[in-house]
Amino acid sequence: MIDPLKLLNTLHSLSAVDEARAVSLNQLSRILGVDPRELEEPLHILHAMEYVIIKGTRVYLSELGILKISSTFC
Amino acid sequence: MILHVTTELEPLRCEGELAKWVKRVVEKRGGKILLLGADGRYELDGIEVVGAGATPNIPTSDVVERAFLKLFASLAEVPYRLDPREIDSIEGHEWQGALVAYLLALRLRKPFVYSVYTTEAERQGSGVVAESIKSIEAFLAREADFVMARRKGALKSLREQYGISREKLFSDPSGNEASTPERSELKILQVSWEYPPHLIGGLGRAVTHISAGLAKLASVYVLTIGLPGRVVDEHRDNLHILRVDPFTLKSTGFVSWVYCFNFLMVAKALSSNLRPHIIHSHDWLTAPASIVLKHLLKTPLIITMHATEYGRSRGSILTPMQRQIHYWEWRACYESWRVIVCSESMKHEVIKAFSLPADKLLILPNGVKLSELDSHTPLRGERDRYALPWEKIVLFAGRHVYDKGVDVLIEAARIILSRRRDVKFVIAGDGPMRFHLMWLASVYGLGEKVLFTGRLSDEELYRAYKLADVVVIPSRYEPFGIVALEAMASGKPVVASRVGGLSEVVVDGETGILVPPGDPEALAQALETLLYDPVLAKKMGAAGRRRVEELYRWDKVVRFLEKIYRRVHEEYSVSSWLTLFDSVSASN
Repeated sequence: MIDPLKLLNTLHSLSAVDEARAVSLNQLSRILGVDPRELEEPLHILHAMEYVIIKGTRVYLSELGILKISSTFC
Repeated sequence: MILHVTTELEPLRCEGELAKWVKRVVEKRGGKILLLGADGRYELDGIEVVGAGATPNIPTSDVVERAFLKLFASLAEVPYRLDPREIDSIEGHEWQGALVAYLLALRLRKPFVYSVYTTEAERQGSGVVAESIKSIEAFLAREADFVMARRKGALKSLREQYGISREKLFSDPSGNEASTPERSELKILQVSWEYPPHLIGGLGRAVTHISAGLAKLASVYVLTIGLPGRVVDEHRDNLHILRVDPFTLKSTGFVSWVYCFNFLMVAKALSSNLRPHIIHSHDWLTAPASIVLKHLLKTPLIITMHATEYGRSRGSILTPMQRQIHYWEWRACYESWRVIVCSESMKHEVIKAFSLPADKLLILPNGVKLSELDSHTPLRGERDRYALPWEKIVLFAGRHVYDKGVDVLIEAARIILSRRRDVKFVIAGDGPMRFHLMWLASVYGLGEKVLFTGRLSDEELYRAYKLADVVVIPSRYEPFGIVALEAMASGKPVVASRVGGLSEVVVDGETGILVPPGDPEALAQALETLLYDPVLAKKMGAAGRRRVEELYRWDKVVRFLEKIYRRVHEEYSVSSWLTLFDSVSASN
């Protein structure tokens, strides 16, 4: 399983931070070089922690997710 | 005359075709060349070439990070190497050259031309690096007065993949004329990555309170980042908040994200025509922008070091990321007129980490806004959110990182709960260790006795202090410890580690109990002492409140800070600091 934090960092790098800039799961799996099914579990965890918002097949970071990344590095 | 900015040119730097292409263009159009990442001056077949200065030797394999390192290093040097008086327009060749050209054009108020030979979309790169470069190229094409596609492929790509009009023309530069800066009043530019709504820890609170207090004494501009949907500027009397969208450009990781928003901060400051008397930066995260603005605007810089990577890593700077952070911390301290730290222990740490002379350093503690803290009383039934009526509350508030020692607290909780069951440990905040800490509490069977609340708003936290019986700060590293201060201001006794600023803020045996860091037994014993001796706890809480009232108030901090600004401005006024951009400053 992909580390949920890695997934969170990737969404941050891709500026997937609102609905307009959300990335599709296909795009995300292509960029990470993994099968889309491998994203299901980490995304489920991140969604349960309210770090990401999933709209259909597109995903982006919530405000809480952005602050989570910031708190990791300061 | 056209100033051409490039990263490649014969004979010093020619890794690919760009060096030849740029030379051909300059031969045809004329002008001089600013070569990034190179030192000295030379002539290339009649073309004048000015080196923009060497790039710091920090190991990184990330092309975006390298590009921004080159950009920040160059922009701090250019005002001493390049006379801007003959420049009519500035042309950046490919994205790396164009990033620098764009900021120079903003500073000198000249048209910006973006020359494109190939695009990242054409090169069909993949992964986060390619995404980041594509977003930078698109940004530059949007911002350019004129985009010059130098090859057919680039033209096609810019039109079809980036949506850029082939006919993009120069805009009227007269609309950008600068007004004469008002010099009668002190203008302060605070540069901080933390400011509401992007608030993480003590740094953001310090900048918020300092800026609000200073706005009564001076004009204050806060250059910061926003969050999605909350990037608008704000202007309230003397306080002006200027925000950039830190997600305008895609990045390759945290460091390049920091570089991206620093680049945008420089652009924002230049396009807002800011002419502050003092630039006050906070930590490494805004050091690149602050240093560049110092040189481009010839304005004294002050830095507050809230923490250091050296301190966080106990002196072992090993990874490329750590080396970049350490470099920017050193560089910011080196470039600053004064370096402010929040405690005596931080002063020693900064002197040791960066070999700074002691007389460059000033200690200015953080403070508490008592009126704000006092105005929040717990809501009806709010205590029930945290604990059962018969449970005592031990409150921790902070980031869930190793330095904060939350794992030590969980070990201490296990010890206490093995003896008594009437205690609830409330752990507020978030961070990378949250999953691990929740797992640890669960493995120890403490599930219902340890509550992870996640992030609390300031108001929720202020109310939570008042509901707590004891506030605990089990840090392994703590430059100051603003949570200790807020707890003391709320009249609560504190149990804290004897590290860093905590051993200066908390008076052992008077306002709380200090314990050795990383010692769960000692932590448990101290917590039990205060939990089961309410008279002592109350006495210590009252003593803590008195200590805060006497020593740690933001209004006192702000008055002292204003004196520092005025002194630095006076020293600067009689200094002999000159740059080649001075003529531009005077005319603006």
